[in-house]
Amino acid sequence: MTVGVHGRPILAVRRRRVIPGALVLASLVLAAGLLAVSFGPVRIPIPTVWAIILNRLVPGLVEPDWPPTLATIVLDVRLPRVILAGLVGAALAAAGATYQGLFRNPLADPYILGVASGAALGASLAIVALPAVPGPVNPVPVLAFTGAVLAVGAVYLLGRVDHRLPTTTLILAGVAVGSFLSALNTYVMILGGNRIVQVIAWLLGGFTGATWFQVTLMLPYLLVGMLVLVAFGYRLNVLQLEDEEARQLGVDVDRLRLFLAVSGALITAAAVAVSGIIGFVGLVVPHLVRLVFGPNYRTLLPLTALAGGGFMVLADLAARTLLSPVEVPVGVVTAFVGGPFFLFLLQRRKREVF
Amino acid sequence: MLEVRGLRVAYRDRVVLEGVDLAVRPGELVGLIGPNAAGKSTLLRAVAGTVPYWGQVLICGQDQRRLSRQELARLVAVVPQTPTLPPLFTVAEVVMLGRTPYLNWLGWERPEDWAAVDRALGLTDLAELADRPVGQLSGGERQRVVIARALAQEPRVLLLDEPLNNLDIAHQVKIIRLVRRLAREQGLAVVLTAHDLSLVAQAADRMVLLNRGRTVAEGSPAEVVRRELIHQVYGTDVAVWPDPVTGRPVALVRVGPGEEAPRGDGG
Repeated sequence: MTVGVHGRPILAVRRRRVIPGALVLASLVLAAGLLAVSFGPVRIPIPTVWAIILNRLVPGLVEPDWPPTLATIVLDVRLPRVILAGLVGAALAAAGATYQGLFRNPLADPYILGVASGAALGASLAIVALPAVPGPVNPVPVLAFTGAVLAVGAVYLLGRVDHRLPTTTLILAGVAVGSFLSALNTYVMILGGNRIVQVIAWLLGGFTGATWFQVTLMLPYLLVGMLVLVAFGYRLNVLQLEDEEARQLGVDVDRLRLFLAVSGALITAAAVAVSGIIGFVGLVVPHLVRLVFGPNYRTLLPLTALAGGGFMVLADLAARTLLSPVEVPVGVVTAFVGGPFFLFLLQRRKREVF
Repeated sequence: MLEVRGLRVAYRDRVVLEGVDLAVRPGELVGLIGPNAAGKSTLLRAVAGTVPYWGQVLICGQDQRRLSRQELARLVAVVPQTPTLPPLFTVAEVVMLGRTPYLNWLGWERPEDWAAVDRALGLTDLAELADRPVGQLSGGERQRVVIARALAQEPRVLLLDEPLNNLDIAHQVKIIRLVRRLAREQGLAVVLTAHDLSLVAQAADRMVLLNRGRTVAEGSPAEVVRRELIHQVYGTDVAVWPDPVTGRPVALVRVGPGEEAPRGDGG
């Protein structure tokens, strides 16, 4: 507790209370994860799921009383899928929050900005033109990252009007860049010959056939990008001010923007490289978190990542169970939720609540 | 504390300031007046390091150009003419932004940062409103939030760009008294720009009159707020009397008979 000027304690000056809410959110995400591992063509009770995972982490802790096939389903089929979905959701949501703060614009997200399309083009090129290499030097995320950075740079330069980035020009530039890159992408796919099937399956977006390999493929990029964003996230608060005010507070605005934009592109690329294009997560989740926890980016970024992970796990669960045995692309599920929400935000924007 | 020598600012080929000198001591409140586009804001921006200039700006004896942005922000704080206040941020969160130049690269707030926010809120009488979203505040309260944000920077030099705009007279008085008290009690060197000559003359220790980028007059309020000087610079007729209580000049703007509706001339 701090003491006010007149010696009286000023209780009012405190951080927003986010920790209890954050713990509730974390539990919900964990529950969503367990639920997602439990559900599927073979229903596995949650205690069994726990036991299988525990037994894998600490062998001998639990006496295995389940058929080995169940362990295979949990450990090699559903767990990597759920974790991959969680990581991709966290990446896209955190990237969305970053771009919204960076461009001071509530409608920014990696999909609308064309960043995801840039990453997709890079990834397609890698799949079509280059041989697959295992490990972190895999060309798919590297080219996806390159494409994402080029796309965000193009949108920024094209959308800028007198050093500002109004909603209209931002979205126009994003849509234009995105469509152009998607067209290029289609061209690349056609050139790809017999690899086109592989590209289309990947591009549709989703976690079908997810493996631990994909998890390890994206994880390094995601970790680096997320660390930067969580560490520098508080500076996004200063970027909510006019550039000149931010400079007067001692911030090198241009360098910070570049740094955050590249980090956002990095995690977007990590997500796109393993799961194709999944829209609207980056748009919807940050706003929901903002509504509950307030607009302070210091807490907003980590909580958005957490919520985004949970959201994507549930979306993927819906995608593979709703019309089972047919799988709906998870992008359809997120768009189903996100499309109406986007329109709702556009409406609200008129009242300037961001 | 603050010393400006031979300041010249030009945007492309348009000269905005030419050969301006200014010295402000600790605890001193300097009122900067002048017509629109006289260069008042530009002078503040040059001191704050957000426009390039020729000449020299010394802050606490140090060449401003040799200071990093962060070091400069610990010495000079600005209350901008049109500040941005993200509406959903609480008062305390906005004031905490003033601590930016003190935070480490991870941005962790230390107890002294909270103490500085607390002091700033106390000085500006905002403690009760600390948890309110700034979007809900009145104009006078918002202006105090921006001043509190500047105070949280714990600066030695405080620059206020037309802090009295859009405020009613009660809030104008409240803000200008606050600013004067900050100069006196915190030992800040304060420069304030404003359009209300009488109000500035009441509060300022010294006044500087700028016109077309040059210093036209500098000195005590009585030396600067003079009828012929004001008329020469603004092209406007004023009547100036000394305030019977304080002896400071009061300027009354004369609207004059002017061009009233033309009388009928035989039509």
